[in-house]
Amino acid sequence: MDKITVKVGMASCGIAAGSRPVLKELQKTLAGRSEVEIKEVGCLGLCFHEPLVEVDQNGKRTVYGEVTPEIAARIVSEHIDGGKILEDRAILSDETDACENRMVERQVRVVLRNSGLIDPTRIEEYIARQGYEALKKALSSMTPEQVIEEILASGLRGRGGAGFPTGLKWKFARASRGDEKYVVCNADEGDPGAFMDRSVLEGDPHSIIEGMAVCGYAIGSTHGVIYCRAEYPLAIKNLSIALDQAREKNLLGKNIMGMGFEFDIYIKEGAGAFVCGEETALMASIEGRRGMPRPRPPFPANRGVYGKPTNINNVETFANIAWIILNGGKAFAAYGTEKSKGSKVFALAGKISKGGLVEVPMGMPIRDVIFDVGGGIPNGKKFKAVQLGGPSGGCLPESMLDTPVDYESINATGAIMGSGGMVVMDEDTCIVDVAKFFLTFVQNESCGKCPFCRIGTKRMLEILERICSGKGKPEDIGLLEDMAYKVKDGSLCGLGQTAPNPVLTTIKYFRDEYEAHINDKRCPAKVCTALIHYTIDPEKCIGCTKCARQCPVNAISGEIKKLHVIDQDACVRCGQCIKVCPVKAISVE
Amino acid sequence: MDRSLKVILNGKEVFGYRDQKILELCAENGVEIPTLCYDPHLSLHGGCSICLVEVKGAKSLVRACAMPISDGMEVQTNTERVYGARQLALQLLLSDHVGDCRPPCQLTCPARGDVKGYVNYAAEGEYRASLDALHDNITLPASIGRVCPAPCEEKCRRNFVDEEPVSIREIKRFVGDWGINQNDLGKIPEVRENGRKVAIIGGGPAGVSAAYYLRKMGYAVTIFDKEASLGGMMRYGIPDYRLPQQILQKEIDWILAHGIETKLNTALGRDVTLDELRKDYDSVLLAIGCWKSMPMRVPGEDLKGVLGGIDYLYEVNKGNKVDLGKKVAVVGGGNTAMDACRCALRNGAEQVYVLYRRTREEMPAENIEIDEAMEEGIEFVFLSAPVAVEGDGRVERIVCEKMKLGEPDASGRRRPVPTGEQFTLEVDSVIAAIGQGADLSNLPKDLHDGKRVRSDEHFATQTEGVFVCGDLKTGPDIAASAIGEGHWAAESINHFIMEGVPHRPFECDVVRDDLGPEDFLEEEKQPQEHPVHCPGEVRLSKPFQEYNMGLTEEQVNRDGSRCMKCGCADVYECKLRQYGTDYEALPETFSKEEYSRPSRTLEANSYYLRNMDKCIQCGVCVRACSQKALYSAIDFQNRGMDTLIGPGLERSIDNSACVFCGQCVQLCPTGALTENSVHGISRPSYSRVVKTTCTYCGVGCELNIHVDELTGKVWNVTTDYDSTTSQNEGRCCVKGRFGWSFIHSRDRLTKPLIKEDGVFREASWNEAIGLIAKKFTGYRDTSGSDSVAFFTSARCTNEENYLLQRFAREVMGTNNVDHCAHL
Amino acid sequence: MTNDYESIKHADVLLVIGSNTTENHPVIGSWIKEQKMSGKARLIVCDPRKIELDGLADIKVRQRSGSDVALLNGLMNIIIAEGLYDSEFIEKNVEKFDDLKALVAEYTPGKVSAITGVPEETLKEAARTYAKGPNSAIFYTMGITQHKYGTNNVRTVANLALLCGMLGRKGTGVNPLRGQNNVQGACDMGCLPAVLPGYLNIAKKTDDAREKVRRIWNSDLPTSPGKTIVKVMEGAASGEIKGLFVMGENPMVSDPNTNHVRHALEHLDFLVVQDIFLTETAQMANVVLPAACWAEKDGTFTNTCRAVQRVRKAVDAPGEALPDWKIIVDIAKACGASWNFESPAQIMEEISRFVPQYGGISFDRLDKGPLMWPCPDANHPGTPNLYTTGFPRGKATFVPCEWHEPHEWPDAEYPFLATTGRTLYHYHTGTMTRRTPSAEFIKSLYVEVNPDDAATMGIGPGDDVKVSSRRGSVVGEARITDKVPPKMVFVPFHFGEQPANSLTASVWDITTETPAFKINAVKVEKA
Repeated sequence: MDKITVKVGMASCGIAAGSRPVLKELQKTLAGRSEVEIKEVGCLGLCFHEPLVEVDQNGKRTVYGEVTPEIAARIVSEHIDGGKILEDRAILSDETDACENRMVERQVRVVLRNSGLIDPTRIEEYIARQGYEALKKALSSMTPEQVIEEILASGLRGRGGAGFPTGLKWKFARASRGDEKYVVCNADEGDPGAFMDRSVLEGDPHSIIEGMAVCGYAIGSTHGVIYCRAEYPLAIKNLSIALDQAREKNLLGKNIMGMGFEFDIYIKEGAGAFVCGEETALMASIEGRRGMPRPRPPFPANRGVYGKPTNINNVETFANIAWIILNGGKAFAAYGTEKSKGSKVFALAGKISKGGLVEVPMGMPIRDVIFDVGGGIPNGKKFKAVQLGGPSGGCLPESMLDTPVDYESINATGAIMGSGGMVVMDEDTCIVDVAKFFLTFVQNESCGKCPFCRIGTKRMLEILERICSGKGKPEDIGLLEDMAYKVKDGSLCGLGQTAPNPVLTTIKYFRDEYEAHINDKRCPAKVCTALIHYTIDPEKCIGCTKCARQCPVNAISGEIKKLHVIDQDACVRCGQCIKVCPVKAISVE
Repeated sequence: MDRSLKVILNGKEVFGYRDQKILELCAENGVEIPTLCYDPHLSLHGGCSICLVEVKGAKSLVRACAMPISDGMEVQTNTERVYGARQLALQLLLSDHVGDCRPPCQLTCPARGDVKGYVNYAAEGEYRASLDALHDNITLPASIGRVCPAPCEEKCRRNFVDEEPVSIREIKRFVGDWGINQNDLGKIPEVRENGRKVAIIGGGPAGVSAAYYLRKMGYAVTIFDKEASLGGMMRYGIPDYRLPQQILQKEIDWILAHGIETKLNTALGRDVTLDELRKDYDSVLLAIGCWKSMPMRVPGEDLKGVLGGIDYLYEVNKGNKVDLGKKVAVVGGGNTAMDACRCALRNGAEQVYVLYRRTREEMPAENIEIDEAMEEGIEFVFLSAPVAVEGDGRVERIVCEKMKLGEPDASGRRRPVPTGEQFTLEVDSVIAAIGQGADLSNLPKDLHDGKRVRSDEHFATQTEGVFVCGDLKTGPDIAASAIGEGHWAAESINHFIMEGVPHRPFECDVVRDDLGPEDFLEEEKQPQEHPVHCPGEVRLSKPFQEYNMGLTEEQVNRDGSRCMKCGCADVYECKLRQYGTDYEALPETFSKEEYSRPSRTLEANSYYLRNMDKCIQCGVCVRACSQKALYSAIDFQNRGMDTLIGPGLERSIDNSACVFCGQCVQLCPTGALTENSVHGISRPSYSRVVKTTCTYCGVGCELNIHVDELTGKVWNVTTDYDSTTSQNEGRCCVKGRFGWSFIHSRDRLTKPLIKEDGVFREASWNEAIGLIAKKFTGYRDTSGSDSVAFFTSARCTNEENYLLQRFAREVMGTNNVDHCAHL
Repeated sequence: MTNDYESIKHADVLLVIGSNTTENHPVIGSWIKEQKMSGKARLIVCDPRKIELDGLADIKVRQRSGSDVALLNGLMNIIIAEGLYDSEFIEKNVEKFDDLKALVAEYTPGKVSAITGVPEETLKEAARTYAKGPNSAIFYTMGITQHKYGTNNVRTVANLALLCGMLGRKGTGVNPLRGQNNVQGACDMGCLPAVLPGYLNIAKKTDDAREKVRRIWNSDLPTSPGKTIVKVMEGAASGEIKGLFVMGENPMVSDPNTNHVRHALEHLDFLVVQDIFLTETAQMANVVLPAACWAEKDGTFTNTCRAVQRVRKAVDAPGEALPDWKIIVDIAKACGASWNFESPAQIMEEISRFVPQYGGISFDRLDKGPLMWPCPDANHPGTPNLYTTGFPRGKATFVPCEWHEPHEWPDAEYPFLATTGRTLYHYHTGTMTRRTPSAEFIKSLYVEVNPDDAATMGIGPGDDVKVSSRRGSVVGEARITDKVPPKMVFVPFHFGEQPANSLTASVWDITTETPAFKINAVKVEKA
């Protein structure tokens, strides 16, 4: 009998969805079965289906979603023992036409090549999938310059958001003189709703380590630092295990693989300040100072951590490196567009059917990412906007959906690629409210250095709040735009320079909605509580008293079997009454 | 340094060196770049965003402090984009900068008198300093100190403590009178002539003030006035018992003594025309006031015996006899009405009525005037409006209608509503003091709209080079307003002549108007000082003599010390305010939703005050502490709007690593950190700096002693980071920086003392030195040289030590000389 | 100081001994910290107390009070034993190396460790670090000098620097930090009984001195030897001294054994005090003369690195107060002298003729910046660092010193050791600083007590403690801190109403008569 592998998704997304009891159930029922191996693996990207259990048998894989311990028991009894796929539960299958087959087909998995497939705590599994062969290849058969040439040839650009050519960055760092140099991995993923880096860190930590080691070789550095936010405990745990294993196997340390190269990495835990994703702030934080950006030049390549030449790349960037070295820059450049090569990982979130991690080739239209790969908008609602690039990205409307995902095209819309967050909004979303939400986030995360960012975003936020509360003035839109441009123009770091993007793009693409708030004192999406009110249709009301009982502020009065009325002054627009009304007599205006 | 890099700076080719920052290059080439966080002695911060400039090819604006130049770089520092960004940055900073720049009294004063300055100097007995400070903004302090309704006092925050303000007006008067009594109103500086000429039409408070400030700027100024004496409304509109003309004359004479020419008895339109003046002068300022009484618009107004209020006062003040008869009705409720009714009484009228259409509550006249009029026996007939004046050729009676109060009108006062009920008063004269307007008959038609001279906010009329100020521009207003108008018009004229466009100075003031009694609960109460009240009959017994004798010196000292020194100690040094003014950044561009936030520290220690409400997070203090003091007692805390600087961990400065060297305080660009010692009345514009060496330990720090030139006292000690002669490179310690106030300690020895019977008495130098010489030569000559000894001092100068040992050895013949070298 | 401040920026090793630099010379402290914190130098701190610099020190030598000679001899023992000394420098510049070798041979690490309480390893590390430099600078102050054998302490410090050749280069030097603004100047000006201005020795009565006095003062040099402060006090008490003139000093608070000082001053026939306030000493005077303070007069001070600097008048003196120099001129004239000094500049002109080191110094030059003496002529730029080209007398000499037990040591009756000194916030007798904001910050006497002792005695923070010696006692507020080791208390001497010097003994260094303030056996009780 062939060996059967059962993989349980034990990344943060899986654990949060309840994979631990599933794993326990499987371990219990499969105890003592030597032909079955249970593996704890990382995130497969199908987060909306978690907990996931995969059964690999006879070279065929089947992935089950929304697995409970009961279903896990069924998988054992029906699939493993009975040889029969649970078709109602299979979401991916080599054998049947499962629901997510299409979603996977359209993806390219370079960064996520191992995620969800291997046990990240076992270096052997990474090695089994060509792990550390890139490092070996580089050390044994390439000069540092050749490594850099290969990266340049791949066209890989920084996946942290700004899209600076990675090879060029390495070239500068190599050219910079210094007795010591640093390789820093920026694992301070701070965008709300983004979890690309976390998945890789948790699910495939060796790919980062290998990428950094190759980089160290290329630029002439012996020190690596992974700056990881402390809120990612599993990532830090898996990374630490991976580092220990790599050291044990002489893949880190002195005289690596006996080829005279020295390189080691330590983890620096960040305190979770969003701005520490900015490279100069990150470096300050590594040095134990307050994470605050500083002017550039000097660039990190010349004066970085502790004043030494430093190369900083993001997690996803490093995760691409080994693949490029092994498969060649050309192979990588085969994916994507003229200027944006390779693939990009996106975290799909918000009002989207299949929220999760996807890796698609650069150049795929946003529409395909959302509707084809992501399954579109749930509950039959209409698409309204997609927020690209994290809190300081931009909101694009339906009309921009054919924009291909590449750096230049996205920047041209006023949004940014960012690290790959994609938040989808449906028709129930108020666009002014969205701008307010994102601005609140960046406002709170401002390091406080520049008045534009510290105070300017606050004043902009106050104007947005004024608009949402029905006190907007006609000149507010112009004022917001003017301030937004100046804040972008005058801020020191990327945080301030992009902070106004949500405001600018929403004004650009949804001006009428702003105008409705300001001129008509109306919130078209019926979200802004100051601009809406609830009324009970006297024709429909049956006097059941349900709404009155539900109302948390006792704003609804009426006797049983008689018409109920809402006291508009007392009403807090919580919407509870709508939910409980059996006859849909309550409406929002 | 090799200046091989070519940069196009504002279109001009300049050269700089590698790694030179744009800001430094600009400074070398005379282009000033504003900055709040950059300090050449500290590490780069790049936060404040005021130094932004445009660099060709750069995606966004560039920080001049941080960006190194490169060959071929094109930099522009003066584009609209740059100006706009800097202005917004300043507006934002100002919107989060909570406090008062200048105190409310000063901001309320239409002339912006430095109340805090002159009141506190007066409180300390520094009357000369006080008078000098007054003259900065208030040209006629003794006169204004008698007639001003003192709006400043209404805003005085002492009201929150005592329900009574500081006696600002009386103090002003005292100081003005002090100068007059000294026969010296102040040193008349030598004027640096600038060769330009300005004509001023009208020598009232507005015209005289404009003349004074223009003259000080170097202009040749000529005042034209139709009267024989200057003073305008202050002379001809205010009776002598309130403002003696000789007081006003002395103040005007002092001003004219600065070299101002006058052409008296010269009326515009009659003796001289505007066109002529425009030809002969670089600018003409119209300040002819409002001299036309408003008509009552009732039948019989043209009867003999009906006079305009101001017309009547004019005659009285000129000393002309006006026959009013025995019974007089004065119509109106303002100060002119009060002056008129009281003059009428003094001119022999037996029964004087004041007719006013509302009630006492609504009367615009000052309370004291109303009270005193009542005391003197004036009969007030409230809620009555004249409907007709009747008589046969001459006034015999006035018919009035009873009114009642209705809804408030635009002025906020309740509107008088006719009741239809009428009554009649038998009178011999009617004085209509219901308002004044400008007499525009001699002005070109295109200058005015029939009521006022049309002008912009910069005092400029539509005719180039012709300016207007004072009552003629504003309508009837208080004298202090005319003085302020004259001052700002002078500034605008100067700007026009020198820069080509009229421009009044922009005032950038952050204000707090959210304070109330509850904010001053810890302040000690102390009642206001009042002048002695003179009873009505005494007043009338010497009808046109001044009867208010003002405050005594002790009262002035006491009342002046009630001043709570509102406003910012650093108002004259604050770079934020300076740039706010330069870039015309209005602090109220963004509404201040929150005033003082409890999370922001307000903390006083023995040495300095930390007011984090005024902190702009430039981080200069943080860097000074870590890089100059080497303590790192403070750092940035929190994020976003909650970002603030402090010792962290909820500690106070007293419990932090701070050693109070004050380097942060010195470098702070705003008033967030201020020395306790300079609170109140520091006036760096009248400050001189003396470089000297510290008197404490042996390091020999070079210190800058700041001396207030108005008082001759030390007001601060700082260091000079740029000094090339400094041993300490600008550093210092708590003693050097804050340990100087002993200089002015009240228990300093000021006279030689001789002890007799165990008690010291003061002696003259001659006596003391004679005694010492007698004793010491006596010991020398009788007991031998070595019976005397000398301790010199490690605290005295080399010269002094040298002399004392020489004295001991040469004159006393002993080597018994030592000092505490070992202690 | 042999070197200037800029020299600190070139030091590879900074050895601070008997100097609480950050409190008493804060600006120099900041440079030491800066040099250390920038990673350019290693810092060795030798102090019985855990002073602030101790926290930054690479090597913390917490020697027992009064054991400095043994400590330094011990370091030299190790340096010689390990061959780390600069033989070339010694060969060229120093005499009597054999004497030194012989003496320090006795001071083996074991013996020194026993005397000082410092572990042998620490001694070795300190010795090696200092000797290896390459440039090592020593900083010391009253913790070295205010001992009965203070002169030996100083000599031994000098021996160490000479042994390792740490003189004459930037970054090296023997740098005593002078405690008062113009101690250096007062000494330079000959305000010492044994020397004339410029350190011309009176006892030698060289022709040079006589000739100078005759030529410049037009008088003869007094023949009898002068008395030091200590001897003057004794003379006053015995009636030998009848008249005493005190310019700007306050011996009632600053001198040891307050009761003894009072007794002496009371015995004077006539006491004149010239000061800016009615100090504790002035109150005892027959005549008090009101002087201008430093901000009210012109002149010069000479700082601790020999920089002569201008003092400039900023404001007028109050009332009839006059600058000290003016008063002295008036008195001299009243005594019949034909002086006609009318300005400090004129006096400096005479000084430059009298004092060779000041030969090139004038107010005109000083207005452009300080000058460091020696500055022999008008074209000389001044001398920031001494001994760059060897020693003036040709060769320096090692003066090996034996360690002696301190004059007093805690015993059963007086079980604590009290050390006196200054704090950052007050200065000397407090005459000035107690009329500044510091008076509010630190109002009255406090006593630093080790937490262990405090616990034993049941003393809490802020409790009053009474410190008594055989001479007297003071009461101050307890500050419980591990800055002082167990069985030691620190008592600042700024507070005339609780004078620390009522504890100190009339014991002086045998050579310089510097009081031995740093070691006093006391008892400590909760008051």
